[in-house]
Amino acid sequence: MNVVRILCLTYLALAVQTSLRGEFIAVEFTPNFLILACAAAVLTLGGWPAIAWAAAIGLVSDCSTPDPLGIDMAAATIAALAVQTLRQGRKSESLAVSMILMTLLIVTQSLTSVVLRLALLADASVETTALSTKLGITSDTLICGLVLLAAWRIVKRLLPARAKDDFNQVVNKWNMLTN
Amino acid sequence: MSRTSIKPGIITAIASLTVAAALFAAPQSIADVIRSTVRDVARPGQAVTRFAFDWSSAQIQSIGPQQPGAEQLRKLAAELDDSQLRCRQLQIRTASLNQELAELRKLGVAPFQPTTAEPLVVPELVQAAVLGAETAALWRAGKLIDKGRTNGISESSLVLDDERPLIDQGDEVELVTGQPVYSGRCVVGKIANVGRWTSTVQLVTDPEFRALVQLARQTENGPVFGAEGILEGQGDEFCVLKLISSTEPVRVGQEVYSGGRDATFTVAMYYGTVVNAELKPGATHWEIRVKPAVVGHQIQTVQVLRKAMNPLRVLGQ
Repeated sequence: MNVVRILCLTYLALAVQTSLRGEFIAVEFTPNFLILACAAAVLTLGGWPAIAWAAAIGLVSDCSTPDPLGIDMAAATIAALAVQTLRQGRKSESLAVSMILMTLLIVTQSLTSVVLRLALLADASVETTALSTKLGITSDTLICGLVLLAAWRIVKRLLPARAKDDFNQVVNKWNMLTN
Repeated sequence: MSRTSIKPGIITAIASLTVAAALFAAPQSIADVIRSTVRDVARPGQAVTRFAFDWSSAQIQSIGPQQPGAEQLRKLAAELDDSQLRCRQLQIRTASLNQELAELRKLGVAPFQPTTAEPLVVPELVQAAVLGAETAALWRAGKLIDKGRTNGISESSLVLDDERPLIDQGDEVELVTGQPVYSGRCVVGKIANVGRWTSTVQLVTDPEFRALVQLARQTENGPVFGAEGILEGQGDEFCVLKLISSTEPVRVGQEVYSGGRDATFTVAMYYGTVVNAELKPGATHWEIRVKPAVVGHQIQTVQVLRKAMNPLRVLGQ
């Protein structure tokens, strides 16, 4: 189920990233939605599947740039490994910890991508050499990611609340009847 | 990750990095195949996303106050320009008729019907293209006439050393310094220097530009040509109109036309609009700023007015 969800999320992120660039007038730079999809995959899954998904999404991100393949894939793998190491096998954590991990993931992935491009490419594309643009994109992506994470946690907390209450009510009634 | 789960994670990371390195080093053909496959797969999603975005934008716009789209705005702007031009033409015609009427009232109608004869001097308009910045730079550097130079063909140094806008007509078509340069019904400037193949144009905003102009004022009978003055360029986007007496009515929005017209060229050409008019206490003349109608760098073709001898009069000999 998680796999289908992450696949749909990645596809949606790729479609939005490539077809609606420049339409987001609320922010100066268009957020990198593929990095956000990568963050969602890494924070939802655990262990080696998170790293594998991060690598796959990194490859998709490579395909949407004119630079050689493999750079974003490597950056995503390194960032995912760092986050998974810090998580120490925990599958869920508080909102604050999730936000910190998301920040670490996005910043590590963006910076690693820039460093790799500058180190490996003689004639890097415009996006990689304009550091201020890259920083702007990273900050807008981070803000977008943190907002979405907070919104998702709030929605998740509200939705099962009623189901939990109903379940507890039924259990209590059964206990009363049987005792 | 715990120790038991760290190993698969590290193995996966190493494998992913190996694949990434292999893809980096792979030939361009393989990268192109992968890239085009991903793009083909993404295409339907892009189309759906674009459609959804455009639909939702249209819905939001329909809820809010109605705003015209970009195409509609362009059409409206073009219609506005046309209407303004027609309005200006009608104003000029009305002002000219009012002037003729005033002369007739003053001098009276001739008792006999005059015989019309061919005028001696007739105006001719020579169309010229304004050389763009790149072409002008090549021309001035001699790169466009390089071959010509070796054959003894060269351009006047006055034109080559002049930094003003260049047009592609010169001595060949009998252009002369001082001839007015127009763009449609608007005055662009004057011919500054004439070379064999090209000439330079002194724009109305040039600090050395001077021209006799006339204000058009609105009366109850329509527009009437009013006071004459001297229009001077200032080196910026505005011009200054001098020698308008303090007794003349001047207001912001009045139009400025060419003055000193004679019977050989009766058409009033448009310079611009008054944007600021101040009469300081005790001053004998107005301080008037005029915004020119034509901005020099926006025009691509111009017409140079030259006055030539009427060929019908020559043939009649």
